[in-house]
Amino acid sequence: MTTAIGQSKSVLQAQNLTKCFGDFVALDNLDLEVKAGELVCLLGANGAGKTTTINSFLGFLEPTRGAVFIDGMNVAEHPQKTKKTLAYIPEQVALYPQLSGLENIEYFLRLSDIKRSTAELKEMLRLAGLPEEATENRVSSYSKGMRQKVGVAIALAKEAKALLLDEPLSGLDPSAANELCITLRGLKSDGCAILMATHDVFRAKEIGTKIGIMKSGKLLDLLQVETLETGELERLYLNHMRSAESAPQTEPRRQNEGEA
Amino acid sequence: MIAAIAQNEIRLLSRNGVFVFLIITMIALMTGASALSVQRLNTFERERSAAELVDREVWNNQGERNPHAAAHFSRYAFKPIPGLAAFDPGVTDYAGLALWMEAHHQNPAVFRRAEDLGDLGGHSGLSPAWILQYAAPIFIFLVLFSAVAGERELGTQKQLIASGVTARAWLVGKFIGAGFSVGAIVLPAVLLGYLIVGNSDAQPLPDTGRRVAGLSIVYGIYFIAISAFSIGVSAITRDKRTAFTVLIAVWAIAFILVPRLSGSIAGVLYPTPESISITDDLRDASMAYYIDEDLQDQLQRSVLEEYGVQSTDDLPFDYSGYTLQYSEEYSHPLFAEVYRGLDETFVRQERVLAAASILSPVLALETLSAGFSGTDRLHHDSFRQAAEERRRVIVKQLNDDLTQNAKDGPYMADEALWRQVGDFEHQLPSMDQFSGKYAFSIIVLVFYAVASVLFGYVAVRSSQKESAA
Repeated sequence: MTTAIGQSKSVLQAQNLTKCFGDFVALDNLDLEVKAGELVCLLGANGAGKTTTINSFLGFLEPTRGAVFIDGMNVAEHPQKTKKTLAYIPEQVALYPQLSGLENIEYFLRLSDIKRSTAELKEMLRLAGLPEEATENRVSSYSKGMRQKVGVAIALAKEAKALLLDEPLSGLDPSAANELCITLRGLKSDGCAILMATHDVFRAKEIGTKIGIMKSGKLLDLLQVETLETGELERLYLNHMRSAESAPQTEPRRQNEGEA
Repeated sequence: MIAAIAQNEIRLLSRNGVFVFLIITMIALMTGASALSVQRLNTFERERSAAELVDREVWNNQGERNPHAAAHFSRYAFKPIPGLAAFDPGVTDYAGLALWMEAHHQNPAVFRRAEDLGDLGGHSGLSPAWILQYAAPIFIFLVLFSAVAGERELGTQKQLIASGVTARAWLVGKFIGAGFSVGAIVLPAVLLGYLIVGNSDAQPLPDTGRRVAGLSIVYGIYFIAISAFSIGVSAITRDKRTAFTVLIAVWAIAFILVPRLSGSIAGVLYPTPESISITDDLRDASMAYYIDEDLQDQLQRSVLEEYGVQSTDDLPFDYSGYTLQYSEEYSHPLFAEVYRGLDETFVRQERVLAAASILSPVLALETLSAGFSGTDRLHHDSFRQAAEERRRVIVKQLNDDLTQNAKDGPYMADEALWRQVGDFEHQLPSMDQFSGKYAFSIIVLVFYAVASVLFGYVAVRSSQKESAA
């Protein structure tokens, strides 16, 4: 059954999401929503639950309790339909090395029943920042940054309502990371709902609309970037990381509450 | 989605250097094997035509002779070899190509090609069928071992799942891609082989079209099983290297060890009687009447009584000719007994191989391939039986002539009688004659195909889940 999210414009929504692997609680009663035109960054140490959250939206993991919704559709109930509305960029964008960037994008779009002309696809790759002369080269000759750009181009061409990124900035040189951030800003302003897991506090602050701090499967804080004071995010983040207790001592600070 | 996956598979394969190399190798192997097989078959056909001509000439021009002496001189029955023997020679090289239709003796077929090969005997196995049965699977393994494991290692599997690709769509797409790869490896080679084999001088079987269709179906089922199994192994193994190792191990066990071991076990459990022992049994059968004096007396008494005479000299025919035919007919069930024992041994050996085919589908395919090609033991037996029937007719014709004409003293027949004895002509049997004989092998092959497809599906599905997690 499709659960409507009502009049809210939440594109990505997790409701009381809990995911256990045996006795290990990877996600603990997570509530999160990302609206159209928002970019939510999830910060946290390894094992905090960032990737598990993303994998739950992708339908890779079945929730132990709770549910995840994409554009109002329950992912567990509509696994294929929901995937058509989103794009995914992992840390290492996996492409076929024997194919060119152009052929890779054409293939991944065909899987989503999207057909675009070669000129359109080249334009998408250009918009994503891939040099034109590289579009027809085999991906085996691409750098990590160039692969990320093909991943972004797929998201652009797919006109995805939601974009999920898992550590996309890891291993990118500053210039490539900067280019990716510019592209993400563009997507955000085009109304795409973006959820990004990252370790990069500074980039998160630079491009994020909201920043969630996760620890031990819990969302400890969800901060509105524009209301953050100088150094506040860094201080809060470090405090959370240093605290001995995995569970928050107080109610999470939800700066966005009541805004929906 | 399935079409996109399949097209991508084909595109990736066409850019795979190993794949292109395998296609070229397969074409070279099939061309070589087909050419060798056809050359061998054509040589046999030429030799057979020449031998038949000589046999007919020698028979017709033997001069004046006692008909029974002529029955011992007798003629050869030459086994017609079907054109499909160039594809799968089956037992052709081992079962003998000609049979001497001699009085008193139901001889086994002689001129076994395997005996003439000597140290080169090992090369007699290089037929197009052998290449498709044993070499093609390893080629398919080499192409498909990375089908799923490769994508998992590359990370594209996860990317595909994120794009909404289901296990079913992926398996079907992969399968179509595998079908293309198998087709690309096998079809050009088979077509080339077909062209070469189709130009042989050998005799066509009465139902060649049906047989070729049957061969295409059973080989198709075999390749479906091999492809699905390869994809399944690729899906359940940790990485490409493990998948490759597992498939090579499976090939070594199922395609080398089991067939050879089962053949040896069959031979140990049910040893084939030595040729000398069969020859002795046949000789004993042929002499059964002559060593039984009571039987001889009893026959004489009953004949004299039947004709109401006191002496064989008073009979209206030549009694010696009569006894020759009687002794001949007396030996028939005894010959049958010897061959029944031999056939039972072969049937038991074949049962061991059939049981082993549960572990190795190539054994089931071997049975069906030789059956559809008309070169298995059943087809050879139909020749042996036809030759025996013909032998009985010839010997009776000659003995009857002797019985009717030799009463008044030594009798010599001439060319007129020899020409009445026509050539041996054997129509190769149709498959209908053996319907039901291949049911078990078909069941085994179909079972393997269904089980492999299911295995492939379950393995890909579980791999999708694992990769996503």
